[in-house]
Amino acid sequence: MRKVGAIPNIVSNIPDKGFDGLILPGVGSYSGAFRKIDEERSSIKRLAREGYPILGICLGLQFMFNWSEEGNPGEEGLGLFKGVVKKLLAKRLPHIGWNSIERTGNSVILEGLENGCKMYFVHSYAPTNYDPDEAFAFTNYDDYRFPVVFEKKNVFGTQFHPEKSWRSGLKILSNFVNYCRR
Amino acid sequence: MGLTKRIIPCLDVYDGVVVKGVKFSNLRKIGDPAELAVEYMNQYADEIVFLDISATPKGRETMIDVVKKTAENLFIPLTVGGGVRTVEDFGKLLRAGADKVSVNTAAVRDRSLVKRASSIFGSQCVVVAVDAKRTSWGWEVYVNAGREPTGIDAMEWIKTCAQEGAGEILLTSIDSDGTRLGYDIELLQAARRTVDIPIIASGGAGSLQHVYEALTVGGADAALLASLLHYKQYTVVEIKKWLKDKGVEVRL
Repeated sequence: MRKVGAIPNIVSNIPDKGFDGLILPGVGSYSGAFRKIDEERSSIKRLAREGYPILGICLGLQFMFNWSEEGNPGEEGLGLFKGVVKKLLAKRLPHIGWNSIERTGNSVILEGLENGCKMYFVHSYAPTNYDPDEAFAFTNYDDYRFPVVFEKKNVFGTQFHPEKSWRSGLKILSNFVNYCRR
Repeated sequence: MGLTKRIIPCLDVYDGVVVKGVKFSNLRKIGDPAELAVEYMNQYADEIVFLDISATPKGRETMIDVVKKTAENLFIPLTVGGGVRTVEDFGKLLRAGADKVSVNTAAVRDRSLVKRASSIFGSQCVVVAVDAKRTSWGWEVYVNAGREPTGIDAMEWIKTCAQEGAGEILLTSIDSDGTRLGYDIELLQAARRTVDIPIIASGGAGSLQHVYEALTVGGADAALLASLLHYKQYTVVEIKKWLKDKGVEVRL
């Protein structure tokens, strides 16, 4: 984040004020991180409602849907995007490595990125039953096509890791920081 | 378009400095790990691997600082291995900025390590490095920098690691390592048939054709490269362009 001109502050509890945007990063498992997300549920939903820019990355994005198959019954997601996260229908999982994204819309965070640019992925789950109006880019793996970039007003998410996707990824983070400055 | 094959430069780090040498002897200093990692990133390397070969407590501590410094400017995945013994070692390296930690001898000695590390930190950051040597019955796992036989069947071991939560397998052929005569293709194929998780081929690359074979007939998802790059024989971009011309999907 420093590289793209932001001052990061890693927190375990979301403060009331004193920041311009929120990032929900994530690796690990849904159930493993659920308790923490659940504790911050009302804060995150309030920030989303109040127009704070929020970016979910990988597992952070997956928490923004209604529920995930990876979680236990009752471990509800944040419901910021419509849809349910399910295991990819691919022969070989996890989906690890660099894959290209196909842009289908103009998301704020995709500004200046070429169609087909490559991003670094590490995951086995992806959103299904999503709202097509909230999905802005797709990726193909093992003949399965799934959405990888989401946007709804001030809430954004990527299934891949922009922080590990070199120039293309830094561009996304930079776009997000610019949006936070608006 | 789909998932691309990865080219991963491997840097041997001794007391905070990148070194090269033949079989751990005649070590020569070739540069600063953080700077070389960024140089390879700018050449379109897909990931970077640091292997700590100092094997001393002081070297370990130095490695933590090296990882911190590197992570500030490296925007592709970084794997760190060498001398990792415990879940605490995983934690230290990940907190310093590594994305993945590779473990070899300790995974064999402590059979619960892979499972514990993957349940705490996630499978995505657990890379099990397997050193395999041909025998009359298949391939045997060796530990302790390839010096000590274990009697364990490499395919059984790989399967166990995948079940316990390993995210990737870094597979080195002891027979081919350092020969520059090519990878052990049959070893890669056997591993590919055994598990679904990514296989990173290591040991024996002496030409571009060798890399091509590992990624195609060998079925490997990635190739770990050391001497092919460090002796400035080729840049990562040159290797990838060559592979692309041969029809291999790479990121360029």
